[in-house]
Amino acid sequence: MQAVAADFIRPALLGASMSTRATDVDPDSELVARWQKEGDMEAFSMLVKRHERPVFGLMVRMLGDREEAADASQDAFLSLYRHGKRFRGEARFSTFVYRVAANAAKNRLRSLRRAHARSQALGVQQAGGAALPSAPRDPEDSAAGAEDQRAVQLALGKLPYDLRIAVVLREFEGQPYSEIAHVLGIPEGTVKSRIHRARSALKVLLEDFVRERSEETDS
Amino acid sequence: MSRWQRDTDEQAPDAMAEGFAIEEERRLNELLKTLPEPEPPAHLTSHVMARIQAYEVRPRGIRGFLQGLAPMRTAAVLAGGLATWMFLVGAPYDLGGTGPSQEQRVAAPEPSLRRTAAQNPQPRRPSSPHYAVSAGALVSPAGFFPGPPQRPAPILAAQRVLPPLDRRLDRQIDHLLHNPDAFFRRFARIREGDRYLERLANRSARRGDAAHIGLRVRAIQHPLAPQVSERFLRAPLIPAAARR
Repeated sequence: MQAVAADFIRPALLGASMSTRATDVDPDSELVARWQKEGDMEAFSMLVKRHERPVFGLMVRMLGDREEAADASQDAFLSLYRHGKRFRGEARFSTFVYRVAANAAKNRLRSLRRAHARSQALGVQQAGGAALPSAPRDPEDSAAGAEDQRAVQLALGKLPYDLRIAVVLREFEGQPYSEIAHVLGIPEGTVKSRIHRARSALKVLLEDFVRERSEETDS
Repeated sequence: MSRWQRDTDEQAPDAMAEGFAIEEERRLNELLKTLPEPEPPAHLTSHVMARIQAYEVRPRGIRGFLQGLAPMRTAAVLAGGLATWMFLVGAPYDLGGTGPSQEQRVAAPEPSLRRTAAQNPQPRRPSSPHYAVSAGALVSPAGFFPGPPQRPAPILAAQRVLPPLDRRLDRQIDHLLHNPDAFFRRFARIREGDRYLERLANRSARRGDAAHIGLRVRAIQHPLAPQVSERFLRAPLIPAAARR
């Protein structure tokens, strides 16, 4: 996790978007300055409040479980607190937050995979076993259209991390390609190709649902 | 057939395929939009701030380093004690070493042998050194490490029935009650804190003392105490609500 912030600050091969972003006014800059320079915890608390929704949303899409997402969000904010002093304002603070959250999600997925493998090896059903991305257990499941939602979440869970994070940032968080490139530390072209590959995979995974939907539209 | 018509006929399948692809993309977008925007839990910010407070009160510098070494220090003292005892009393049994450090070398042959050698001056054969085993090494290992008792005590027998995970959780709950500061310090470093806490609380609820522990933890002055206490107090309620 320590590498998170260091990687972020590294000038990446990201082209002209950096300069355009630098000219924008970051809505968080004042709070960030208060927190970084004066150690104002109230300011940090407000930053957490401001970013908890996107971070939690990202975690739910990435992990497929609310409990896990809440835990991973806490980890992400703690990591932000520990490494946030390295943020020097080269990009928006929200981009930095997304980057920390993406890394926290990656770590959490890795530990879930390890726990899952361990529980399978022992033949023990652990408490977190049912909380893996492949088995969402949300109260929203009972609502109308729950099957679609479940299918989409399952399909997302089947994508590899690199494709999943790119498509989640684009389709659910509505981030522009340039921001995603900053968050993931890759060139914009790679972001586009990953999103394209992710969407192609989703189309295959959700083929039945896409067809059903088209039949509904036709009728 | 005009050239325009021929071109149109040739391009028609491609155009149709493209149309289908666009339609498919649109449907996929609709499907992706069915996922509702998740509402973050109400306590998220407060839990984050509590964890940060706990992180901040964590001792640093030499004190923090020594506290981090605390479990290792106990092991080091035990290992040192065992080493001293072995040095003073001798090794409990011969470990199969060949060097003089483990066995005493015989300094000189017996006088009778010396006389014989003087009477029969033969060329001396180089002989391998003689070793005698130390007194400590002759003692049976069983004397030092008696075996397990024939019948375990009733409490131990009861503990053995518990699955290993429950035993570990019990130890950690004991740790929370006996040394809450150390527990909270450790807890603040755990990545999956909420899940860990949930397991502890559920275990305690199964034992039937979750409410008691919750109340005891609530009395502790620590930023993480309310979060931990709340989990313990809530744990017995969840199965009851589920049954209803």
